[in-house]
Amino acid sequence: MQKRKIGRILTLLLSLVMLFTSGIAMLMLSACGRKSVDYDPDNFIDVDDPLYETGQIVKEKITIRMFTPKNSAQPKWEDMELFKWMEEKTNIHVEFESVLLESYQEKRGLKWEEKDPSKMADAFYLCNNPDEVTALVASNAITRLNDPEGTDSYSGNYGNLIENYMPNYKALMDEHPGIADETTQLDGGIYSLCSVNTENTGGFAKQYINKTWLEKTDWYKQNQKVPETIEELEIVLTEFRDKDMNGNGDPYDEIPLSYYTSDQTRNFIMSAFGFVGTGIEMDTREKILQDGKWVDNPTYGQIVWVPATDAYREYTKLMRRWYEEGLIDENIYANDAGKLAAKGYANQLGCFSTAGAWLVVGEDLDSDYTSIGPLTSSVNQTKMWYQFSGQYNATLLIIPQTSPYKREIARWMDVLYDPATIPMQYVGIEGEHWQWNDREDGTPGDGTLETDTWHFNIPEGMQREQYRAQLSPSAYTDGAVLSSGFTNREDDPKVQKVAEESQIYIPYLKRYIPTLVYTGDQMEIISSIEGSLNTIMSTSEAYFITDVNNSKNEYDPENDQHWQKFLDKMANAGNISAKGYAKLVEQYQAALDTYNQRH
Amino acid sequence: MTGKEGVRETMAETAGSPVKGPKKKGALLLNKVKKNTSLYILLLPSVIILFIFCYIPMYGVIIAFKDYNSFLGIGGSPWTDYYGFKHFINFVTSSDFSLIIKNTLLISFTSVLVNTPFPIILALMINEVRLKWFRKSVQTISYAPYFVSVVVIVGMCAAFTNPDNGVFTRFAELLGFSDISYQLHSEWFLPVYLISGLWQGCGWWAIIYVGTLSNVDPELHEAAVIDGAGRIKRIIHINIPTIIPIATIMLIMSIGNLLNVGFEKVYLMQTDLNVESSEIIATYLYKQTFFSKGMKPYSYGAAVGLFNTVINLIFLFGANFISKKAGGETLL
Repeated sequence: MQKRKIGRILTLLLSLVMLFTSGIAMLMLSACGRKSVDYDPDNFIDVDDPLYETGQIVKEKITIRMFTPKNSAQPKWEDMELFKWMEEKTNIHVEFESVLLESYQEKRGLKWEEKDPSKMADAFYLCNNPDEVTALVASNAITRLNDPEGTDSYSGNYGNLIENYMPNYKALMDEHPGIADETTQLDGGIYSLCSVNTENTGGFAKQYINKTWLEKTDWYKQNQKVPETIEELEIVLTEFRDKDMNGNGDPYDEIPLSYYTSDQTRNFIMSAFGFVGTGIEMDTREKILQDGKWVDNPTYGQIVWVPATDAYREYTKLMRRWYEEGLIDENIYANDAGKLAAKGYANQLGCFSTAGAWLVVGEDLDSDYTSIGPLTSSVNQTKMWYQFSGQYNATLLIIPQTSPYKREIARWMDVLYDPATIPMQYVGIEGEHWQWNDREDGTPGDGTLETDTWHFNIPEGMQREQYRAQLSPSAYTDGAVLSSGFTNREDDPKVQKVAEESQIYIPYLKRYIPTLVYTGDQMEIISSIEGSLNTIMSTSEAYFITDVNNSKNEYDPENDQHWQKFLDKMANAGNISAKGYAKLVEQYQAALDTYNQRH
Repeated sequence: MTGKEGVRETMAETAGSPVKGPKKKGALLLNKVKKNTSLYILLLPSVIILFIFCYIPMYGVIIAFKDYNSFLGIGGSPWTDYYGFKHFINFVTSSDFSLIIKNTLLISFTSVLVNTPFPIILALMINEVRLKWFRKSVQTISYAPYFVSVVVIVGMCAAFTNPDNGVFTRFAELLGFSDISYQLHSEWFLPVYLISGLWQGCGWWAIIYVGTLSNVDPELHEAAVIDGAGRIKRIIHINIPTIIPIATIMLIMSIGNLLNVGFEKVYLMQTDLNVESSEIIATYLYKQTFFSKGMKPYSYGAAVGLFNTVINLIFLFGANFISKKAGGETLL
């Protein structure tokens, strides 16, 4: 009896302990979210404060949280020299919540679901896709930067952030009216900051061709030039395929053209047919071929769904033929950057796409390659080149309404717009990480002369980009707020080579469409259709090109029935609320019309 | 009355003693609680946790019937057209619907078909091994791959079936197949998916059967040996009947998960050329939700997920019902 009683008491105790611990666990879980935001408005150094001129932003050090993308090759953002310097100057510590690019879209979406103001980011730095910004504006979720009535519960009336706290940015906006064009929403508000590329640095993808091989071809011996049309390129690639170009005794190991699906070789070939991409695009072909005659393009300046055009059909026909004849690497759909580079280092590549040839073929073979410009073809005479990002990108930074640090962030960002910090955002601190070279007459250079060059002090044993990543986010994430004539004046021959190679593209750069603003209804229709359409396009294109044995028996671009089937499939993509590419084009066209009216 | 007796009594009551009336029922429950207070308190934390983490979040499922906007909140977001069923209708009428459902069902049915018998066979074989050290090492080696990350497995699949220099590509060439890259040929996606999955999980899934087999009463075997039964006869008449109840439960549970094909592996293995056989509900859901322009359409994602769950539930009850009719084991 006694024993039983003890047993009973023990069980009771045990259960109480369990109940208690689970209760504590739950309390802890819920307690995490209960912190309120402490904000002291007087800590901010306003314009009338004597400390303002020093560049310091707050009296007592504060911490601001920014949400950023991160490339796996980058160190922790807090450890970058640029931000260390910024912290010293401004007295603001920025805590970066950097998410690897691979999972960035997902994590970013979830971040906006954060309801706890003490955990929500104070700013989203980089990758602020304009479509999302429009939706956020509609939900009143982000701060208007040029609102003269700007107010919040933390710092009271802060007014027009750009006017009051961003003199450098304002000066830049006056100098470049394009910034306002790019960032202004339909209500006249500016909600995002813009990154500016005042001169093209050549950091975009170029198409490279093996010059040493080219010089061995019969075609080159006759014409003495780099191919300028797709037909000429075909002749050259055929010679690449047939001869032992790399001189290793094996005439079969040369790969005339190789790529992987996400690189820009497809854009390169497509642009010979009149479009720089294979999705929604604004038609900029001046003339088109009709019954053997060149006539003015009736759809000039309008939105088209490229896969439904004849140009796209010509493109798939050509790609299929090249694939069948072995001019294209047969494993394009199992390729990736690493495999491409392995072939490049083995001196097997004739033509490929990248930002600088050495990234694919290594330093030793770099000098063998030269860039091949935008091509024309028998069906298109307008040269064009895919432009990844424009001169102005409204994607740099947005501030959620929930952040108490709106003024602080405005001033912090303005430091990055100061012309004096341009070099720092590229290669770190002058005198420490880089310096101006002496001029030819022996006097020290300071950048005031056009001919001044500078030298980047890369520590021994370090890769250039690897080192640059430790200095600023502009390496790998395209994070430089400003770049300009500075970058092209580096004394590194490789940089000079890339700058020269990019010259042939710069007059022809084109984006798919300008930055458009969509209404909620347009957005909904677009998201109903576009995902399915893209899947159809990429899958069908893969078969159009590689299914040369017709094992599927529905993907031969030469066959009218097969092509019609493809068009029908795209006309039915979507769901009951909205379907078909024509409907998609309508939405984009409406947004473009609004855009054209405003400009 | 002691606690022990109380338990026995409770079990007898739940096992189906006739309940005399609604009024009595409540009193009976109260009585039971009184008798076994400590047991109920022991149960309480798990009930609370289940309630908080599994039942309360279910409230969020209503965003499937709304146009969810995170700034308006779940309650504040407007209901959709078609009496709240817009997202369901959009999904079912979507041009991708038939392909997704076909692939999801195909992948999961074949997975069940392949993954049910092989672990049983492996377990029976391991059980017959007499050398203890050999049996232990076979078992360890066969379940070791289970702990390898999916990313690594997919990387291995890609490397082994690479058209340029994959090991298995060379083997397949000997057997007369030209190219077995699942990245390039959609018809090879399913075989590679199934075989790699079986290789990875077979040993692990066999553990439960090996455990069951070790509990077989040795007297049964001795009696069978005396009656002159050989090894095969004993496997068929003793070992397999021992496993069948467990195997049925496992089968019912895997049928309940039919539409829940593991997302990671399929997504990692997907390429433009095999989308035709690799696009399943989970990958579609992920792409539609997180790769769309503007605000993420969580409502649509929730609707697709709910659709998935409801179908799974129907399958689960269906399998359970069939098993019951056939006189076998049931879950409920």
